[in-house]
Amino acid sequence: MSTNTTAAEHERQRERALALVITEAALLDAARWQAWLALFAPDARYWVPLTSDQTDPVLQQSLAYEDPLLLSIRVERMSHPRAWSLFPAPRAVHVLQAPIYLGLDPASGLYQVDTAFGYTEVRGQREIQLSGRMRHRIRLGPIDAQIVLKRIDLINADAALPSIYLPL
Amino acid sequence: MAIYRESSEAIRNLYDGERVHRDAYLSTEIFALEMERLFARRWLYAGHMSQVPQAGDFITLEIAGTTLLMIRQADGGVQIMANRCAHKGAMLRCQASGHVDRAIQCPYHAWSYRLDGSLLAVPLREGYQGSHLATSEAAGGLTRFQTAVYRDFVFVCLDPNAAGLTAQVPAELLGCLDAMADRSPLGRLEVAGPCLRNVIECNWKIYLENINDTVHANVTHESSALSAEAVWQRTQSAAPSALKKPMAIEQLLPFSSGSDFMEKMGGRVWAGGHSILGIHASLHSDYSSVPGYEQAMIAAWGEPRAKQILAWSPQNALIYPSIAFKSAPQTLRVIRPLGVSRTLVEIWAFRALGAPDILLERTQTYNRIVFSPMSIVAHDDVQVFESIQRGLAGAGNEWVSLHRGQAGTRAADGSRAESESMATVGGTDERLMRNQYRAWLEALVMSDTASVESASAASASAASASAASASGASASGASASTKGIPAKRDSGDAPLVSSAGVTKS
Repeated sequence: MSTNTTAAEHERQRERALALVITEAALLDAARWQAWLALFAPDARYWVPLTSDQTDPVLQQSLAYEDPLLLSIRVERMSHPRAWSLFPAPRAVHVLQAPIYLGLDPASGLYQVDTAFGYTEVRGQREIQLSGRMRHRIRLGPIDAQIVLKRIDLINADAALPSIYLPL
Repeated sequence: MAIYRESSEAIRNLYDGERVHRDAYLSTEIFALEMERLFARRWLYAGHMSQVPQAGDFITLEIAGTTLLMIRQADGGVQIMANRCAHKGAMLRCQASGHVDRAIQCPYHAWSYRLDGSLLAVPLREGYQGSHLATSEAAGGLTRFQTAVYRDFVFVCLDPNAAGLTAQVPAELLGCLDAMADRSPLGRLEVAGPCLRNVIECNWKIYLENINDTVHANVTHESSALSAEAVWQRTQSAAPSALKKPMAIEQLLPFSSGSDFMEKMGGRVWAGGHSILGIHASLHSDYSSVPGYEQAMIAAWGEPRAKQILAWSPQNALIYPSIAFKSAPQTLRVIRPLGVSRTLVEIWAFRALGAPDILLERTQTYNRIVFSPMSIVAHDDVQVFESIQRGLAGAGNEWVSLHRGQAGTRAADGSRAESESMATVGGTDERLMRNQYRAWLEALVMSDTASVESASAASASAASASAASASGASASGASASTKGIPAKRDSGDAPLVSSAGVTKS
């Protein structure tokens, strides 16, 4: 009986972790910025490194490395009437490959999901296509599921890039 | 049809001292002339010695349509040469960086070259008997370009006849590089990781004008500065006790500074298009002090020089036409035109060796939140730059206005007099941009190299006299400066402009 319960718990954890990843992408694509922001834990980091093997987000450069404070500023600006680059409003869609559930990392206590993705962003006539792999590190509480780390490795992170107006 | 190549008069008509004609930004012919007559004849930024620490280490780069190799030499110097095999033109290396032992071999037919670019060996040598290979260009190996090193910053000039670095670049601008390097108690910098790179669909001059544009800050960046302010206020009011202002907040809030503060920043322009914006103050002036750092700097440099370095944080120093940098935070942008309406900006960060990590963290944070392709601050700049490129192409008004700050610059007969080799201006004065066009016009209308040289050499000669003797700048890779501590360290003639107590109020 207990073995069955454990298996069911594992399955439940897997479902919750995968659901969070899918929900996050859907909120981004729906431009529901406040709801998106609420998925991040107070100690969360949103990280887009410049190199795929990067381990240091502070002393090495990244395309983005934001804590909830900086993410909040990003979201706050989304509704500012003179955020000039948001007119016309950019729109984006994430196309996710089936997320890969990597289970619990015992060291951090976080659940791990890796997802390959394609990303299209349009603003007026301008369109950019990006793709890469996102890694979610997730804290599962009794009720809440929170993102503690979202790391996005673009396959061309080292290329000269145009503006990416929305969060990946 | 070549309108501008054939007529200096047509080029002169593009800038009348107050206005720039839209063709300067839109004409592919002008762009080609800019590459030939300006970019190919100026000292441009190539890289930093710390990117090629060992003999045989190389980086590749492309400047004004020429692919280049920058290779560390066996004698410790550095040489920049064409990344183009002398045989059939194949690029010798295509990766961003790497290492070769003693020789570099072409991947096509195995022609090989020494680290200095000279031809080492060709395969099937006997087959060349009776040919003129030995007297052809191919026998000369890889084309070597003028290379100069100043405080480990490596510069290249594609024109073999151009005057040296210190003849083109005023001593005060090199002094800003000193001020960056001397933020290290050891006097040495190191490139910190790969650079950010942003491609913008605009003419390079639109970006360059903005380097000196303080008036746009609280207009274009209002949303970023006010959003930061709003979030920070909410964060503080929700906190039970006083919070330390986070680094990002410290860096974002000054973008809402008013035009009074911007004017008082002050600027200085030099012939040749060079400038320093923020000689009295800048948006970087009020960053918090770093515990222990000042003492380490005083121990290294003596109190007067240390305080001078620490007080010096101009908004942007501009070595025309391609380098915009900040002594603090230690950041350097390189503007690389890719096409008439396409510009690459590289954003480099430097670690001040022997200084606390927080200095580098400050640089990386600033570059990321202000210059990254994902930066909300850069977004509003980029969208304006790209819209200018579209706006200018339309019917109607064909001119860009740079009229502001003309008072006092007219001669008695009404003619425009902005011909001094150096002048001090207010921080909102568009002379900071007119100065770029003065140099631009000079470069484009002069069709022979000698006249370009004499003009820029004359304009910079007074300023560069001390730099030439004291800086350790060296040409052609001799690189006496790579290990040297600058002679300026304790001298009273350090080129920093005094920062007479302007504070933001």
